[in-house]
Amino acid sequence: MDGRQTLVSIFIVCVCLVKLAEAVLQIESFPFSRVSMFAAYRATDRIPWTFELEGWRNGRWVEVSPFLLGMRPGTFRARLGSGPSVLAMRCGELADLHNRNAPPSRRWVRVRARAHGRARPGSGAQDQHLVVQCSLDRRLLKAP
Amino acid sequence: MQKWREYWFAPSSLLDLGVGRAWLALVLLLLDGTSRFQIVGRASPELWTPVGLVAALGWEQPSPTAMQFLGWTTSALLVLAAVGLFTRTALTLLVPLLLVQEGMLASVGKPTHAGLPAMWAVMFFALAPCSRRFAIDAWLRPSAMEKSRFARWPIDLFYVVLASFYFSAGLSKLLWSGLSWADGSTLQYHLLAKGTSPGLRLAEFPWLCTLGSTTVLLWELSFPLGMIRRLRPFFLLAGAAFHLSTGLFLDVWFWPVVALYLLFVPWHRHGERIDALHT
Repeated sequence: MDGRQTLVSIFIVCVCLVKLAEAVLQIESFPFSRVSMFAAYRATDRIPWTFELEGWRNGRWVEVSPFLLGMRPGTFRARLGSGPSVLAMRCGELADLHNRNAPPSRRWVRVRARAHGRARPGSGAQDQHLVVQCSLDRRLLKAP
Repeated sequence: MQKWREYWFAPSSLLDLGVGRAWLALVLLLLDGTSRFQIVGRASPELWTPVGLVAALGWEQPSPTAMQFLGWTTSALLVLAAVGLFTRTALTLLVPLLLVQEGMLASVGKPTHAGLPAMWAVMFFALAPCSRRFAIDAWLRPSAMEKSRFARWPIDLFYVVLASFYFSAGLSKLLWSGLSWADGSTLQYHLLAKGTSPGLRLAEFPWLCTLGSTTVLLWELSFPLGMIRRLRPFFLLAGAAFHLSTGLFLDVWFWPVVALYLLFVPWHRHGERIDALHT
């Protein structure tokens, strides 16, 4: 092998070792990823929930979309969690995020989350629908 | 040593590498454009949690104007890489530029899985003689060389990146959930959660969910076998089917990854016609 081939070979070996380590050690630190999308087990008794947020501002309910909060839908979903048990807190945190940076007239005075639970086919259960009031940080509403 | 040299350094078509470079740049141009990273500048400051690389650089959240500037610079370099003008310089500058922008995107909570393999590919092409064919650089400095000993390794090394990508995904399923991941319950859950029309229909058939999950797990874990070149088309075709399915049923489109499968096409076999484009 000539010198150039040796250098490229060293580079190839290094990349292979890095990629092997990334996979085997399951490294999740940018720019490495274990690509663990959907890896966690979801047993048949686990119901998938979807959420929509609505905020009260200037006398009416308005949809609080991910883009309104400067987020992509995936980030928005991840921040709301996977079930209604912590929803009030989580959606409150998202609304606070908006309120902290918005002028008083644009702040959400109240925010509610509509949660839809889809029953597993064949389980005999019914779909579930809940409305949860989000816990807002009231101090932010009074801030100038 | 001889086997190693034959595998990585056998003379290969420079046209394949040139077409691959142009395609890679086009895919990134479509993926990134001038707007993909704009969300970094617009995101709420509370979302800014710098990942290791960005934290190490000590950078604060950039302004929308700064991101716009980076976006336009990236696009201009990608155009140069696509047409093959100042190719080596453009690709070399793109490596840190893409890395930093992807890092900043990750810093505002956006997972960047789909862009990662392409970043590695840019690095490999920057180190390879990818402007000797199908490039303006080749037209400016004509050469009769059709093949090079350094034209094969970037493509094969990119397969290593893809192999690690899928194997890692399969392994994480095994480590997090064990073999029960393949029982179909997890897939059914995500189909229902995503709620696409074909996905909801598929979720009604648990046995199909089991079959789908098992197939995906086996395919992901065995993808490294495609390092054996004659097996590669099978794994890539299965991969295309996999990504099409996740798009259709789960609305998860990893199109930049599957688009880069075209780097493995032996373009020189399809064409004197392609070569004629630049001569």
